Amino acid sequence: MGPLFGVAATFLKIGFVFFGGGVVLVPVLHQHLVTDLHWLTSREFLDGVAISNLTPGPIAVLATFAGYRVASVGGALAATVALFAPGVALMLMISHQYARLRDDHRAKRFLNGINPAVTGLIFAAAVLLGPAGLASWRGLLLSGVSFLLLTRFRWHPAFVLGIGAATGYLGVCP
Amino acid sequence: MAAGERRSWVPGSEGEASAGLVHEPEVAGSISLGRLLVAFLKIGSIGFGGGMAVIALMEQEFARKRRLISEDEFVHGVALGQILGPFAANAAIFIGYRLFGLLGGLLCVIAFLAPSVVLVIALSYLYFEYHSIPALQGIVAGLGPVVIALIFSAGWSIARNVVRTPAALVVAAVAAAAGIARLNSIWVLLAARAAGLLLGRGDDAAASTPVRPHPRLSLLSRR
Repeated sequence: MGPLFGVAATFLKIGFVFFGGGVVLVPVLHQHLVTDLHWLTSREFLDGVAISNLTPGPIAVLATFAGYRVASVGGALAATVALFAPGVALMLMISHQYARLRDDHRAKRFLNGINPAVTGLIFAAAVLLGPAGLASWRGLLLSGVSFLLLTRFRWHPAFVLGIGAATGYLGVCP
Repeated sequence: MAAGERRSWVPGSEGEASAGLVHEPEVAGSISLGRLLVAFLKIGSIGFGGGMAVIALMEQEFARKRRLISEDEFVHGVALGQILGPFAANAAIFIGYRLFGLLGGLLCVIAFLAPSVVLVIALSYLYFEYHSIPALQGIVAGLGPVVIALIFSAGWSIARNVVRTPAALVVAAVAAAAGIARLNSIWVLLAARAAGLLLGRGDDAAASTPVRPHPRLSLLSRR
């Protein structure tokens, strides 16, 4: 119970300040876990970032890795729940307010006004990934074929991702 | 909440008519909480690339395929989620809450995160036991180009529904440029709103008002 409580308290504190938030979390976690608490070495921390990046979840699953280091599976779960709890609570509140406010004209206008900008940000995310994913002509080809399969032939993304995983595993691409 | 209960987001079902706007009946699907959770488990398992890749999967699954939530509302959820950081998890909460309330929001985010947490625990075990990261890296490298295509296709699909006026197209393009320049997305969204107000005399030049799609965009619209 001792170490679990410490893990939960530490990550809850971080979760309250950063609401589980994105890449800003990385330097904050480094400060706490490596510099202050010595739960991870710098090397372990970097490898933890790499492992977190391998998963579909947000970078915040770095907490799972650190929690595992301190108190095994229980620590991993405690760290994850504690880090996400404040952000999840806040997003539930926002979703609730949305349900209440969505018939309000001004709230609706505000949200509709930013919709095109959100669309732009989605394209931006794809472009920012470009240099890493499209470094070779094979990557470019795979990306083009995937786009056609997804939009024109309406393949399920899981199958298209499966093709990508297979080419990566076999070393064909990128 | 009964396990077999099915929910759908039908415009008009929650006093929408009082808002005085008539939406196209673009939301038609319904789903049980159990199937919704399975869908999130699936997305949480295949959504490699995180963030926008996951948003793209959710858009395809819940807005395009199952029609549980309109594209407009989906984008609202993404926008609200971006304010808080890990927007993919927040979009899961938003969708769960819209369809099944508090419990739905909570269970959907758990279902979405569970596969990643299990994967990280497994990889942590391997890492601390053998001090090496398995050959998963090759697989992830191969996923990169597909993830880019996936995000583009989601952006394309959302744009067809959301970017309906030339002004909206300008806002979307500027926001994309700002995003590529790595400006903070919250400021981009607020600036977009301010620009919309300035350009549109307080009305919505940049807004996606519920009218027909822009003709040029509708040419490219779904068959």
